Amino acid sequence: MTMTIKIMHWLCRLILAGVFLYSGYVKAQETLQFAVAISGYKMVPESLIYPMAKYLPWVEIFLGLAILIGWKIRYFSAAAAALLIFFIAVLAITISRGIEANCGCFNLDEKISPLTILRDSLFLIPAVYLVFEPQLTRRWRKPSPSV
Amino acid sequence: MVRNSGWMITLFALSLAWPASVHPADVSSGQVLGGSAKSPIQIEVYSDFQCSACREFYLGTIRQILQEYSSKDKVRIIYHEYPLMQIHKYSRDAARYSEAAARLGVKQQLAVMDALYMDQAIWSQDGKIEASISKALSLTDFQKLKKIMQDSSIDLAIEREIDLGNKSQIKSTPTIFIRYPGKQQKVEGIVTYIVLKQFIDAIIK
Repeated sequence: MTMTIKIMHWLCRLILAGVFLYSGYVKAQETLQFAVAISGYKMVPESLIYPMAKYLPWVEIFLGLAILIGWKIRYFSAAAAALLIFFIAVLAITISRGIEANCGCFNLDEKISPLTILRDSLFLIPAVYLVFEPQLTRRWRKPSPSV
Repeated sequence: MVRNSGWMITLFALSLAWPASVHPADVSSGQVLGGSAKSPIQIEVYSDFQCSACREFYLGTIRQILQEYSSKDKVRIIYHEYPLMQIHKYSRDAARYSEAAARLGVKQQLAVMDALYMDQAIWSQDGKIEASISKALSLTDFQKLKKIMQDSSIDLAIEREIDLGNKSQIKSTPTIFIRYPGKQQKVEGIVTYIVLKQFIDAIIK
């Protein structure tokens, strides 16, 4: 059981860290293309678009690194989950408004669709697992009562 | 923890060293609308006169950048013709007028570009581009322009621009290449004036 828990822990950590590091890296390299993607959502005031495009990728990179090295992993996994929930909400609102925006997620010219929401929702699984890992593993480790 | 940090740093260093997938365009062609080779920032635009996003980008962003930054030699702006003839019937004709106007001078070229974009909705319907151009230029310049239009090198120049666009992997218009010390970014779509201004200010501060 301990080995399974270890594998689960590392799998979740690597997936979540990889997602945030890659996503942050792509956006940090192409700030202006990311700014164009943000403006496509028609949600952010124009004066805040560029600062958001400039700093959000570094927030993602920071979260990815923190999760990768395991520093305050529960807190930063919770922050990653909160960010993913924010992205999912923004995608859902934009789709419901009938706006055809570019996702600005990984590939900066990818259009938003229910599939992008599904993908972001799947990334929530490792984040939620890492937040609730102590409670979950305690339950798994607990020996079943002998009759 | 220490072991983890080691490969984390390696990964991060590798990621920073990973080159961005931007394909540089040839600076020797295109029409220089403002700024000079000494400008710290260079903006190259691949544009189509019949595309509405190109209109919005030119009138809403480029005109202001020319006024605010190119006049102070902070930003060099180069325009490339990239008519999307499959979807825009008159875009190549419009590009021919612009290319010919560039041979008269920057002032005339800007006047022609302004007219083409401002009257886009009109000439896009019937293809009567000349009516818009004649209002934008003096009679002498208009006569000169008509003469230049007969030169076959105009079509060759447009072909060269299209080839260059294809080499630069242009998929849509406007596509913008922004070069600044040590870096280059490729942007597809409309960058608003406020966003571009904040970006430029951060570089030249």
